[in-house]
Amino acid sequence: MNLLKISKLEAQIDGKQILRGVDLTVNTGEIHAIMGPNGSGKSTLASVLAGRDGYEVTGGSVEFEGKNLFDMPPEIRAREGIFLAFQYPVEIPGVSNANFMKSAVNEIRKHRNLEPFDALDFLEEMKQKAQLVEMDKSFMSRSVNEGFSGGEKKRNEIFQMAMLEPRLAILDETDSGLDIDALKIVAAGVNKIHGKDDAVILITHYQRLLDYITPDFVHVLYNGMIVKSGTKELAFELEEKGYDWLKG
Amino acid sequence: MNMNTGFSKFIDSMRDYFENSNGTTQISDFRRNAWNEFERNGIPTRKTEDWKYVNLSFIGDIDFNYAKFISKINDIRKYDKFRTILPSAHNLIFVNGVFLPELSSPAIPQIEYCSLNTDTMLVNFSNNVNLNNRIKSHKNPFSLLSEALTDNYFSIRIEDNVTIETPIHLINILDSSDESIISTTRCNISIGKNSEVSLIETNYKTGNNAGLGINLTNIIADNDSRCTYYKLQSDNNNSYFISETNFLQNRGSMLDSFSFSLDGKLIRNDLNIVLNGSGSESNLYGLYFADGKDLIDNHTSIYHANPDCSSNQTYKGILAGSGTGIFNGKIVVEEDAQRTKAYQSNKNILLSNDATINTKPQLEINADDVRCSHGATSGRLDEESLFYLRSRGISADDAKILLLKAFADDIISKVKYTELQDLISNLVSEKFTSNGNN
Repeated sequence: MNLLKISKLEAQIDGKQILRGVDLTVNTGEIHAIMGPNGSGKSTLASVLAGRDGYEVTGGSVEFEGKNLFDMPPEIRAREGIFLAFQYPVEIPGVSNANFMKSAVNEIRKHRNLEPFDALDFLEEMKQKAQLVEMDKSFMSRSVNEGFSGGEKKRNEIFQMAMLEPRLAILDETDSGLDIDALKIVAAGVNKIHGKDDAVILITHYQRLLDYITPDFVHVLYNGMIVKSGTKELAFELEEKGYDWLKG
Repeated sequence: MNMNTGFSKFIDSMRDYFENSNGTTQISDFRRNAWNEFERNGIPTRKTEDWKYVNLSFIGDIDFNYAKFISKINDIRKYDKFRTILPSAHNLIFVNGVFLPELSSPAIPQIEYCSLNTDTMLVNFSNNVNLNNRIKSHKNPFSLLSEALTDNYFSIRIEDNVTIETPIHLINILDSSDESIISTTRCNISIGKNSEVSLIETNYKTGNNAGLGINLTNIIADNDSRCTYYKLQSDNNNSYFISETNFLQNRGSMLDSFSFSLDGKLIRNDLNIVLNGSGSESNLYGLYFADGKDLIDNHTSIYHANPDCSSNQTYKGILAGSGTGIFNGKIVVEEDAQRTKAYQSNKNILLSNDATINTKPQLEINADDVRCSHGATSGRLDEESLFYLRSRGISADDAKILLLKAFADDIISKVKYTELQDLISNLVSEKFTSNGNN
């Protein structure tokens, strides 16, 4: 089933053109990897999909389950099922993880016509999902990402993904700054969460993450356009040859 | 134009009250001196450094009458509801400056209190607190008015070596049902050696006419005493509150002071602390929220007069609508006050383009072995944090409220008296909800 349809998407930031006509279709059950050199527009694509301020869409369209994505503010996109794992998760002093997730999960449940969790059910849910990314339960009472190590922050992103059960998860360089152990935990978490009814877009610089999460498709974003698509073998090719051979 | 001319009618009418207030008794020198000084100084203008952000034109615009109690008010039971604000506290109720024992909690043995006539009794007691030159040097002009006009003051004495478990709550109610009023109170509190007490001062108004409440509170904290002092102002009904609180802290005494200014057309709080004995410590916390056209002005002054004392100030403000916040934090470290530690922080969040904050640290350091720091910030709510919360499905308004609560809880969570903490928490939540869509 078609989940996301990006057509000829163009976007700029501060008057500078970053995306120059991106086409991409994502179906349920699929994992897509988007690779590309620095400055190719990978994170811009993620930001535009999640609805971050400061980006101006200058052309093209994005449909999420047939609805115009740009009609929705970020929170509605999230409730509809889009999740962005941040490249740089934000520290929010004074807001506990538990409080944050309870507000978020119950908003999303309301949107899906589900009863809000009561305190006990919510705690149980948190406990189970935290195990997926091997997070200690003590982190629930800590402020969101405050004083977390790089690895803990990324694990917290995947924990939130598990809690919110998105239709489409966009992981923006979730592998950056992770040592191999943390990378394995994060990848295992994503693999456990991902199923036939949802899709994942992995945005990454390196092939390394793809050793642990196997993509169905690999795309190369270069200079604001997808210049090449293929299967996971393309990732090995990129690892070997770099990006220069695509420039011609 | 001379700004003072606008106030001459006010001063004339206050002079009438002053001259005729006492009937049979002679007006004491103490009160007369205060009046003379008040009249000499006049009402501060925008050119007065300590008042330069405060628009006092309402004093000339409103026909204030000096509050006369009881003669016009028959049914004091209408003030009963104020006792339920903090039901577990030892509630002392004042209406238009007059103490009402009938409505207040029954007396308990460790606390001695009474309302005294200023002109005939125990002037010495008040002098003990007042006559610290450091405090006197920059006396709030409205405190002079309070000293001149108030013909009785309230005195609380806590004996040595006692722990008062029940917080003492002074409820200052302005009743402007009949006319616009100005009311003054004077309160002197002494805390004995090695004793412990929590004090709460709140300001409320009932009646729809304007009300200006002026509170002057002097507290002596004797050696090794521990005092928690709370001030809560949250009344949005045409009310103006001006207060001065002076602490004289003797050797080894500890003070935690909290100031919550959440509502009021104009709130001006002067908090002056003299660390008068070595090893004493002051922790000052403040939270203010100015919206609409409210103006909230906190002036703190801490005098490190002796060695080995520490002071720590954390004031936080939220400014919305066309609200104005002012924080002026003065720290004076005197020559003898070696090994002083003094910290000050003032953080502000502006929720609208028309909101204003004026923040000014004022450090005068005259000793060489001193650890002192200060910092002030002001800005919008962090956009990236808001986006992060929204990207998880939380609405823009709720995201704002979550961040504001976190900002305020930093102060509110330090309130140890849970009934008061809940009260403040609820007041703040209501304010956030009503400002969420700004």
